[in-house]
Amino acid sequence: MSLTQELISTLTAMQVEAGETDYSKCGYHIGVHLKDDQVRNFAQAMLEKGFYLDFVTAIHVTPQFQIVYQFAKFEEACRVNAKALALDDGSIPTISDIYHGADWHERETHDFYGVSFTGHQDLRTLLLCDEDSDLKPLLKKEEKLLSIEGITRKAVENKDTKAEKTEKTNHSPEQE
Amino acid sequence: MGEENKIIKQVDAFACQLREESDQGAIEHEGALLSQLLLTDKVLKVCQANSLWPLTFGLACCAIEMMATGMARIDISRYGAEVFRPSARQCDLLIISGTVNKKMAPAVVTLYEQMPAPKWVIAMGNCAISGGPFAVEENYNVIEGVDKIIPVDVYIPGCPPRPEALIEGILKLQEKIAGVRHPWPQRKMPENPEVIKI
Repeated sequence: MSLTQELISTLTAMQVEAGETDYSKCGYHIGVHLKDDQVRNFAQAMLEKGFYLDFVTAIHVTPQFQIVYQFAKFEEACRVNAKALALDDGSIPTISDIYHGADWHERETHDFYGVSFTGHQDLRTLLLCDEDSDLKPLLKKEEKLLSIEGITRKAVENKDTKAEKTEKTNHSPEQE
Repeated sequence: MGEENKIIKQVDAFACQLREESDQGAIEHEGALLSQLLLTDKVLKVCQANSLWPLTFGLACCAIEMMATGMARIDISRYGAEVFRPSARQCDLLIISGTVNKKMAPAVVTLYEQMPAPKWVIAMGNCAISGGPFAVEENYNVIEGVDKIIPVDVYIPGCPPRPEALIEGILKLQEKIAGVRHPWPQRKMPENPEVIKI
């Protein structure tokens, strides 16, 4: 059983929604959708599998933020993209005590989007200057704000025809 | 439009505030020397122009060109400006080589203030001149032009400028200090171009 298959079955056993994706199209092997209470367990599982954390970021969509975690492995080509919906107040449990590398990623995300990572020990501004701690520069303007459906490329995960592809390009330029 | 303008104004207002704070503490000097002897004055200015000591201070990709200018191939020492010093206290030339952002701006002002007068500033590259590619609506943290926070003597356009451009900037600065383009006699090129054929 390949690592991809093994990981998917592990995650599915944890009742995490995980599926194999076409790497050549979306740049990662496994796509994962998380509920906010699954984030920490998922991170723990990834750590036990020997994955490293590549980045943490957020996508500003309505009604709540989507937080993106990407993991990869040195030994094998297996990149995992996990998306979690933040709670209504824009908070999500931290994984900085599981992956210490997530500490600054989460601070950066907090700087730019105002996502608050509950349980994070030190959410001071990291990249912005102190005066700008309330700026949140990467938030979208009201008129450009889309829902998750609006930024999802549905055609990516299943093989589609050319017609659907052209329809896909008509979507918002923002990609997943 | 409204909101972005507000953000830009915030950056500008921040820069203005820094400049004002800095100006308050600055001692106005006329560039006059202790003795107003014409010849002494001239000699000292020629010496200053031919011995600019830049600060080792790189901010972005322009700094790579600045380093190249200091190396053997371009060799800024031909014009006496090769003594890059890591301390602002020992410098009289500040080359702003790159993007100055809001978090960096107070540090740039501090470095400028630490330099002993007489001192000069070169704004190298489009970012230092006017914000360059960052001068857009969405800009939230780039100071659009370092001259908003410290006075600038020479502007070198380019993205980044080539080492030759930096040398030209140094020559312009020498011209500004000493009043003539080559304050020190330059070696003439040989009349027979065959001699320098490589």
